[in-house]
Amino acid sequence: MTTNTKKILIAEDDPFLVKFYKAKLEQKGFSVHIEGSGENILPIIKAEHPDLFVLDLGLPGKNGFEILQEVRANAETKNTPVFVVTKLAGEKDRKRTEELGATLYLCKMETGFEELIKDIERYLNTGHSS
Amino acid sequence: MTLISKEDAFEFLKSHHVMTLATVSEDGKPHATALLYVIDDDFSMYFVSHAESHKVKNVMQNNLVSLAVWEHKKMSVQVNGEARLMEDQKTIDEVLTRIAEAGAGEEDHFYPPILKIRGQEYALFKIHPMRVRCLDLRSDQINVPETPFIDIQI
Repeated sequence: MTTNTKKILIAEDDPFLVKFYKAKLEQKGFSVHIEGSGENILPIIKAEHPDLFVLDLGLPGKNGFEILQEVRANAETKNTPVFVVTKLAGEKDRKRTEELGATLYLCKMETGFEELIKDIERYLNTGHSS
Repeated sequence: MTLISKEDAFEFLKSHHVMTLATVSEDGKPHATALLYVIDDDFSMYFVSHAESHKVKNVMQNNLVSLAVWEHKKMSVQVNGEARLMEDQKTIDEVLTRIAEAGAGEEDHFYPPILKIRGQEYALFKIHPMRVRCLDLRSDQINVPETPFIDIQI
């Protein structure tokens, strides 16, 4: 295990997937905060100052696009790197997340979970998303 | 033939996290699947699956299951038992965490099949063991055909 203590906020409502995310990333030395609803993301980012925010667009409570827009519009949170993860595979959604300022867009149907973990690890260790 | 104790069998099952689970469909068709599990001190074992999976449908209409865990040069364990759906949310949350941590604690590139299947509704089952049998694979000795497996009293 490395001594990396970078913080990751993961907004995801799949109850098993989030636990796997958390366990896998904590074993790699990261600190992981899980949030299952989209309602309180902004205050959490302000309080936690995560090094990376992983956002599932299909969260209950608030639309993921709206969350991303809010994060980018707020002076305190606008520079937070955001990986958008979604089941939506459309080019239109990819373009919209890019326009809203997503750092990386990953489609769950195209990208495996293993790739996402690698992308997170790579980004937090090197600052490069791919 | 060397003897396998209840503790040996338990430690073996506790040190592994992947089993092959067999269920039977309503029309009698067997269905085997590899999946993650965790075990309690009393030999109760837990597994999670997508709620709409074949194994869940099977168990909901016939909760008798059979499972096997094997490792070369160590042991092969077979368990027959009854699977019961867990409904207490606190227990579900705790056990899902244990299963996720068990899976995540395997090799770095280990990602269980459940992560490759779409769906967010999960069903957690507790297997109450009725019979546990072990085959000792620690020595090169060939076991006597009449008594290859040792019954573990639980």
